[in-house]
Amino acid sequence: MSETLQTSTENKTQLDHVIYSRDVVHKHSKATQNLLNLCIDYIDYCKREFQAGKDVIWTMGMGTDTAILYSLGIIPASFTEIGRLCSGEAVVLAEEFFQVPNETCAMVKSDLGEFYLQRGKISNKIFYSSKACEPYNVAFQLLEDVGYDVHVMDVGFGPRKARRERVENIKKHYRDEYLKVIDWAAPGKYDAEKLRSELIFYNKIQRKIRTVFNLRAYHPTYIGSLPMMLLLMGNTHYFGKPLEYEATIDKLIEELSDLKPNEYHDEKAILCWSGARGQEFNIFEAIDEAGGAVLSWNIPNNTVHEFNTEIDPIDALVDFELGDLISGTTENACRYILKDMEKYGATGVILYGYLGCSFATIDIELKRKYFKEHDIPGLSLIGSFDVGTVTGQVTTRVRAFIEMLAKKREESKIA
Amino acid sequence: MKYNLKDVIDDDFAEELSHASAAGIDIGSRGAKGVLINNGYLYTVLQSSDVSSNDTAHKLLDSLIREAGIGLDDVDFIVGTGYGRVALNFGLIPFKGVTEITCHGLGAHYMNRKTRTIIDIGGQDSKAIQIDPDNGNVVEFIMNDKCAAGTGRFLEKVAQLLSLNLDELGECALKSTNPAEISSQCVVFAESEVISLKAKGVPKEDIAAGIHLATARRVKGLLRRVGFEDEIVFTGGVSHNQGMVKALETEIGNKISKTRLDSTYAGAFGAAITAFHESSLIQYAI
Repeated sequence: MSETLQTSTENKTQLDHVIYSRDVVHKHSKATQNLLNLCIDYIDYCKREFQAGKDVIWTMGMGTDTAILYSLGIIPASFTEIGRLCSGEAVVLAEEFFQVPNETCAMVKSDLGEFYLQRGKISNKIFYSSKACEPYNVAFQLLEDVGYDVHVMDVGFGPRKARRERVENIKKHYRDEYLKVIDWAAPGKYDAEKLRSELIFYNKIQRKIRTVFNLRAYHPTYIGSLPMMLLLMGNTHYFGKPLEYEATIDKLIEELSDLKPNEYHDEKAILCWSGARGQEFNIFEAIDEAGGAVLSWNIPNNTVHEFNTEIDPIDALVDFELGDLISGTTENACRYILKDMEKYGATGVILYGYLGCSFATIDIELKRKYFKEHDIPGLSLIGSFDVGTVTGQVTTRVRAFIEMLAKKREESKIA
Repeated sequence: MKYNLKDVIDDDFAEELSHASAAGIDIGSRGAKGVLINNGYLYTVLQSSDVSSNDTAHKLLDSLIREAGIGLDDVDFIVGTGYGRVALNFGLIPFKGVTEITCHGLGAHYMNRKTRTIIDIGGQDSKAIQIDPDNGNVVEFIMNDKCAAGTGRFLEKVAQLLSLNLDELGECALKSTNPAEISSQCVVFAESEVISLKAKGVPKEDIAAGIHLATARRVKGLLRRVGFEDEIVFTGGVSHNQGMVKALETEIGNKISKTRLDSTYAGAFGAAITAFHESSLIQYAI
């Protein structure tokens, strides 16, 4: 892979876009470059550490999974990130070798194919919490047949109005499942205080990220939308390097704090990004280049929830899971998004899902309807996890949406 | 082609544009369109898109200025639109790229200021756009680009299967008395259906009409999403196709508004209007 990319149009893979963002777009920010380096190196780092004899387990990379693994001395490798390595070959393998239907989620297909291609070179242990989606469940079953050791954690959802007895049963189920995960990952190694320390660290990181968000609102063009999304994506696994990740955030806070008022504050269409995290990274370039800036985020990684570190740490994990935003209804999520948009002055929302993801595509429509009722323009984008740059039509949609918001802003100024 | 501005655009805007000298270049996937507004006249030119968008754009511009009898320096501003806009460069003439969604909205508004809804069917995608009739600004839009069905390419493919050219396909559909039922919304499967219908001896006219109705149903889905009201303007390369106009009117139950300027040029015209607005801003700044 080329390390010296000069123009965004030459970028071929998602990782190329990150490299381009580091070398071309963010030359002015050492902290952003550090962040992008962490991201660029993440999967290779996990591979190197595994080959050097360290324990590495593939996981979804959400707060609860990664905290457990770190507390057990295991590096969590986020399996959604392996898609960034994805070559065209990975998707073809998924479709032809595993016979995954073409219509299946692009993210699952690229991960499945890439795991197959990387077998023997990476850790073969995969921990999967079944709350994400059924196609992943199926994909991991297929991977068991090619030598992967997959542990699936069965989850439940906590209805808000359920009877106390039912809630207690769900909590007990969760506790048991976490203990099974620990027993599978590192038998006999559980240390409640180590886990508590991880939860305290997680909470600290979320507060720091929120500080970055708040500071960036004053200088939206200092850090582009892509690094902000990557910063959020790392908020649980820390790209395998917790201390470097924390130091990078501290540096970001320092850089943003040192800027003069309005130094990086061109007039922008302030946007909210909601839905999947997006792997077609040049969408973020298109947003920034068209005069937009994503300040409000609603993706599976959120910084709002913290662990209760005063109670038993396993119970804290359970409470966290049951209060997680992604397990709430769409309308609950929308109310939260609306508040966040108001906070940052966002005037439009980009609703993003992956091609073939039946859950996200419906969720997007429900959200779009909600925002339309609140007179907030929404743009639905169905993206892909495949290799390659975004098609012209997707860029056109993004640009047209930003042009529309800019005209609206001009009109309201005139009014 | 040369037109007197006031003969082809909405009366309300003729005065505003009478002093403009601005060009709009719309590089679509199949066809490239150019519009020049100069000295109270409007010039149009159309050609197929070459491999190089920039070469195509320069050819269009050369034709326009030659027709108008002016030099390149007399053009105050150029706006490029369409999928090829990103590759355009006009040297010292001020230039900006604007999406075709914004340009079609503005173009249709200046053609008919009552326009609320635009159906744009081009070579590689179709769009439904809702605009604010007060200013032509886009209020909402949706694009179909996931599948070739519902696009000009789809119709082109079917025309080939029926041994017709694209213009003949629409004319042929108008002669149908019993449109064939095309159930598939996917171009690949629809192709099989067309072959199967041909084998069964279904008349070409009925197959052509069925295909137009199937495409119109897909577009209707887009319209439902953005909401549609009269006046509806049909733009894009497929807007020439009378069979498609009829199919759309049948499916959506509303009349398609007629415009005095060929609505194929809506994008390029909107780009030229945007260019004029941009040049006014520069003059204001100076």
